[in-house]
Amino acid sequence: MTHPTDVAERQVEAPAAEVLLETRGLTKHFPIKKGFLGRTVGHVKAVDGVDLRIRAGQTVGLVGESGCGKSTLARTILRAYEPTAGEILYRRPDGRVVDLAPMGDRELKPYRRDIRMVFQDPFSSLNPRMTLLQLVGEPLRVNDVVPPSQIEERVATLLTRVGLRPEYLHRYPNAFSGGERQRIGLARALALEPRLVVADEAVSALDVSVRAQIINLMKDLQVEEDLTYLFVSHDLGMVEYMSDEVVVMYVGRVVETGPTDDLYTRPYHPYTEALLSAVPDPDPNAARRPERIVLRGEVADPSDVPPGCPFHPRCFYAQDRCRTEVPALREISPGRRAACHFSEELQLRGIDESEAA
Amino acid sequence: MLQTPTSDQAPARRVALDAPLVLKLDGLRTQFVLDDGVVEAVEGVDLEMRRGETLAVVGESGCGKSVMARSILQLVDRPGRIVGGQVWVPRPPAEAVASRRRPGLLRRGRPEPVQQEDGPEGMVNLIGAEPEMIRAVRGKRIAMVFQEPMTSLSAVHTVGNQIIEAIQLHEPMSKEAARERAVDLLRRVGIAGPEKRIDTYPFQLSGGMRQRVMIAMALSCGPELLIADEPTTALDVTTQAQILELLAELREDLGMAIMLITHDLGVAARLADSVAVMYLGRVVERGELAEIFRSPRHPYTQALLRSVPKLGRRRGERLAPVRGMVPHPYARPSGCTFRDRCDHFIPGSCDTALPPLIRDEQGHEVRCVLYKEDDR
Repeated sequence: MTHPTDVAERQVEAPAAEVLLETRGLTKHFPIKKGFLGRTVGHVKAVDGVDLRIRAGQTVGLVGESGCGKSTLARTILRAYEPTAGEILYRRPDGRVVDLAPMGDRELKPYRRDIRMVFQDPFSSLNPRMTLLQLVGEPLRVNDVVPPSQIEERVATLLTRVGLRPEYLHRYPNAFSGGERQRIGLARALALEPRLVVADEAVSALDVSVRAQIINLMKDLQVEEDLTYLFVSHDLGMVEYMSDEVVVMYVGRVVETGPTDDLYTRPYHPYTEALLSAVPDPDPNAARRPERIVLRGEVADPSDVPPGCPFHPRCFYAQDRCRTEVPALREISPGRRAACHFSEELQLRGIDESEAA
Repeated sequence: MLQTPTSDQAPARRVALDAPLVLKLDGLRTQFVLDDGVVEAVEGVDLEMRRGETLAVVGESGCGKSVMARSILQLVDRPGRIVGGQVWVPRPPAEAVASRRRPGLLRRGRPEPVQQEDGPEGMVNLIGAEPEMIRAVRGKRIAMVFQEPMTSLSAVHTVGNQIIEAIQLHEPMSKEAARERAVDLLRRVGIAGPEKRIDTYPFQLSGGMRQRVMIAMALSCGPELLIADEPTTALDVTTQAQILELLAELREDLGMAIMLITHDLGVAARLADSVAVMYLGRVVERGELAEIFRSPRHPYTQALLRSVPKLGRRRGERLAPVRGMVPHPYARPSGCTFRDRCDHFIPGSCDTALPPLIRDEQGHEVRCVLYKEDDR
């Protein structure tokens, strides 16, 4: 168990940790086009005014059901998508803060090296016609990081670092299993010595034992390479294990944020409570979660978000106020924010840590 | 104070040991003969399932879970072939088998298959049985729910027509009556507005709804055994919880047995009564759910349980995954197939012969040499 002094120290320390990346009101709407002329008839509000803060050296977990905009948010931060509105504030190594949102491709290029991505599906994200040398060497070559004569050596080092044998340099991805491919994906992401790695469901497609290996590798690399992760996942168990801070999204909006332990033990938003309760616990002998909540219905359509709180049609606590007034994301207690009108009144259940320990 | 409505905690379930058998596998073996070699996907699986029992079959991908399930219903595609063993199921009533038989030109000279008599009483071996017998069991007595609802439903037929087809195939009834039954089934699996939804196409439904349709179709003829192959893997946690809840409820109401095939130990823990852990085509451990989770015996089961993060566990604690990778199917280790990833490897013992199955008084079975001495 944590000693009380430890907790106090962490809280003092936390604000001091430098913010590496911050989004303010980040929004991404996809137009829905219809008819011969392609008129825009509506918008899918995939990401709708997201404020997010990622501190250097930490891992931020982004959770939510599919269709809640997690991946779109991750890709917008990477500037793989053009943001509709909002700011992406990035702190450069020299301490200057720049806004990545309005930049053009040419301006963005130096920052592309700092923010890298690991993709979900290790089978479709690697070109089957390129060898490992070409795959991992490509970012090195494109960015002129090392002279061409040294690329091979560098790639071999990278492969060793992610736990692959350097002799595999000239093999094609088809020779590798899912876990090994995900290691290749990591090597590719690490090739340019990034500062922030966005891992979009990086372990979801893997088997449990391989998943644990990759998770351990990611944690080791974080220490060795001084990395910051944005860990996107729908698996709350993995997110709890990986993250220092958790952001819960629902239909394009952040509904709750906070330090992992706090948020898991005492959720402030009914959606977080339901998500936590839905996670199947691999321990039938534990009596700590006797009841579970089963959410009704499905995620709201992001092109037709319900009025008021987007979660109200599925919420067990919904009142009249929830149907009309959109709750703002506000601070409930230090370091904890939630978007619910009744966060203070509700006694929501989380994971009982005292019994779990 | 506001109250969270929750589902009732199911009382501890006990399956009577004398309940009639619904499935008995005896040394089932399925192999794939490929150009480069032979893959033994299922290598001698013995299992028993009783009425009302829920058995979770867990293991990593490639361990033969799905092939085993498909072998039960004779659904293995070429080049896969069932090469040995027996699948015993309760004998369907004679009229269910006979009514489907149509005299055909090609059929005329064919000899009647010999009836095997050495099996359990009132049961019939599906391996080598006549096609009429297999069809009388498959879909009616034993139904299956597949992993990916989008690829296992037809994209060009309405969900209603697909369910009606399944009903009419097994029971002679008019289209109107079958349609009524389909509407009832859709309502039963929790689809809102079934009268309208019955005429929709699968692409108009969400993943969770499609899985509900699959379940409705499987239930259409009141099966004794439902084989659910990774029924929730493609779904969100919240939808997964809904589907598991539905399966538990249907199991209580209809008294059917469920074979739940999953790689997710959490899913197994939520629904099953007993667990069979598979590794490389063999069942390495089998026992009651709580017992397996409390005191796993086989090193593979132990490693599998260690590699899953539990909610509420302190962060920073390192996961302990299984070492290495599943060996290549053409080059399996001799003796115990888990030996080169095992922390308890005993040279001279593990690599010479396949460990025998050890069974204790509670019926907890394990295939590992570590337990030989304890029980002798």
